Amino acid sequence: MTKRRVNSIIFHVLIILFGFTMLYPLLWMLMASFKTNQEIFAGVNFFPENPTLGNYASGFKGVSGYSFFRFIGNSFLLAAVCIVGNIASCSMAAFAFAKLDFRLNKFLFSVMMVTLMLPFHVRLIPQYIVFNGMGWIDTFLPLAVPKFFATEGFFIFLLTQYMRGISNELLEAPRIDGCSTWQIFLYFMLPLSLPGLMTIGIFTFIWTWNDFFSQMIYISNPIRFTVSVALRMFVDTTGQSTWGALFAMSCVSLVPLFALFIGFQRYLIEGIAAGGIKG
Amino acid sequence: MKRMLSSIPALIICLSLAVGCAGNSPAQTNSSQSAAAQSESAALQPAEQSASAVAESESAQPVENVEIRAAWWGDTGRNDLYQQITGRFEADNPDVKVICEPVSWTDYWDKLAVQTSSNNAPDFMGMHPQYAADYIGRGKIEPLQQYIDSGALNMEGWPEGVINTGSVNGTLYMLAMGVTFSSVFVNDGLFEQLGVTKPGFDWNWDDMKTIGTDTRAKLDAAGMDSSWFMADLSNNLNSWRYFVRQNGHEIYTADGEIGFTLEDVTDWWTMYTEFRQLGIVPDAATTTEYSTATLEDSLFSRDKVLAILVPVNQFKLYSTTFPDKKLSIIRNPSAAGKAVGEFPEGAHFAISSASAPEKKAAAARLMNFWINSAASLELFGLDQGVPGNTSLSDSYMPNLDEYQLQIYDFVEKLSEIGTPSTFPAAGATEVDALFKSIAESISFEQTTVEDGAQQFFEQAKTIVADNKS
Repeated sequence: MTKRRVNSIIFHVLIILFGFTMLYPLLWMLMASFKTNQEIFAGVNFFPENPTLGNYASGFKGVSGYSFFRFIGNSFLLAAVCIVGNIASCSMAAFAFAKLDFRLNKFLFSVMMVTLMLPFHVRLIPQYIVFNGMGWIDTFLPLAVPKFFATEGFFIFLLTQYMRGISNELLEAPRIDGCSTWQIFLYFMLPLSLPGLMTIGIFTFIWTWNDFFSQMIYISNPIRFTVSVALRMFVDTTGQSTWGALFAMSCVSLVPLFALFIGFQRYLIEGIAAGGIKG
Repeated sequence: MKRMLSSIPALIICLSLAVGCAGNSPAQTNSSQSAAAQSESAALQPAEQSASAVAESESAQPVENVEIRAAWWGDTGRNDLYQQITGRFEADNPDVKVICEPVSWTDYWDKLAVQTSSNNAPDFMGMHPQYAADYIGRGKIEPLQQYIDSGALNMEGWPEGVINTGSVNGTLYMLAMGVTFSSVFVNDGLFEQLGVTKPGFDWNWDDMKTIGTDTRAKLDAAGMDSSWFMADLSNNLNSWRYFVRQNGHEIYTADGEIGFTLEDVTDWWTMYTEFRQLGIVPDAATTTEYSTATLEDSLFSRDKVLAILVPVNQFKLYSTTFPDKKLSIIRNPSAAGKAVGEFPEGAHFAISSASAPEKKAAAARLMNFWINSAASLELFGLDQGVPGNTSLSDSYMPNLDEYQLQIYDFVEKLSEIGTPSTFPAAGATEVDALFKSIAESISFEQTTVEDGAQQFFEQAKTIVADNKS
């Protein structure tokens, strides 16, 4: 009994130490957000000498006359639309791949898998030209609309694997009772794959929230800046970087991610464990 | 069969990539056609423009509303400043609406490359000589002479030399936001503390060796063995450009060919290898470690080097970032009895050639307002160096603080000494990258100076030749 206790204490101490090393950069950023610009690099103390909220004030003032709240709002809006799009479209595609028997099913599935292997940079310029032709540049459309066409191969793959794990008998019962394929999808498949849907919802949020390059390329007007693009404006290698404001706003931008992760951690693990890699 | 079926997608990808590459040539002919169309419309334009100018002066009523996109790089402070300037422009020109697109320096070039490739570049944009050759070579930048002829751009008060910093092969493509020079910032306080006589305003490479050796000895005596006299610039193409010019050559000739000799490269890297061995500049590992450091985190900030090469317009930035250091400005080392290395540098404004004629005209008006009006210059001041228009200096002189006055004086002095330089050829960015990587491998002693110089000389020639065709 005592041996077990000792083991458990050692285990926890190690885990906490490890956790601390992982969290240290974040904690450093949090502390730096309360320091003055000078102290951030010159000071040696972990804790700020004279804690100040000035960084938060100047950070929320934002860029080019638009408050940082606006950028947070933009990011939330974009993420919300992307989540709806991804869940609606990817679940349908995954259902088709997993449960429907149609010609070229395997073939199209492998086509879809190939899109996963195309690096973003290969698609960048052709995509830009297409969206430019449609007059969608400097709007959220190039970032949101594709999500409604099941373009996220990874999510389709994840959901397909998840849905394959749901037994066919469960779906044959409603079929015998006279449900159409559409009804089976809506009333049986979707509720049954809820953890999988939650997972892709959360992933979509995190990826959209953190995406920088495509948002930087497609959005130009500061009125439509998202959090990641706006954060970048605080740092410029040729000028004076406002590090304090950058760290302060980085901390703010982490809050939704933390909240999300703590709230939905259970689903995230469930969704991946049940569906994903073990197949 | 199944296996075959599933390998088809991979095949399709390969094929489509191949088609994509082959598709290049029709696209090129297309763009040259559109360029022809553009030059036609450009020929028509001055007439249109003066007509609209007349219309404007006759009736204050705006004829037609134009919306133009203006892009630049910068930090948050600069964005606020530039937005005030565009705001004043809009107040003066109610028919033009300016949409500002601020981006930070590195992202600016990524974004502009993508935008340009689909003919969607901002109508009015910041352009830097470092990148300009690529854009001008592809015909993406509008020549400006027609706007000067039509009176949209008024070049009164501009010295010939400053106008020419935006010319390539005799065609004017961009106008200087301001004139700046490379300079060396010296940490006076640290020199005094060590008891070393700091280099004078005019100093040369021999001085660098003697003062550097002296500094090394004093640094070692003070126990500061991880500090050095100056940062290692052996991989800095701009610094080498001074050296090449001092030898009477240019890195690129006016026709966009290689203009330097093998000795120019060999001597440069031999000199720096000696500096490195004498402990005048940091070892290769330290240089690499700090190569991407931000200003606050740099070698200079940490008192690890006493002198640093920086464009002079950043003197205020450095002075305010490091209030504890006493800084002064001196010239880049010159070569005793040889040619002058200094040439006017600085960022420029340009107009996209892909824009509609009325947008180009509006962009030219914005450009003229920005660099040729007291209302703008009193805000703009020395942000990008000393403004090209010398007749309006009264509008910003009263606003200058002590640091900016030092910048102004330095630019004044060097404008008299400096001689015009040629433009980097198309492919300059690649040559720059090559120079860096070879210099690095020499500093790590993986390549000898002779081999490295030979490699650079030959590969640079190939790059420039490839970019010509």
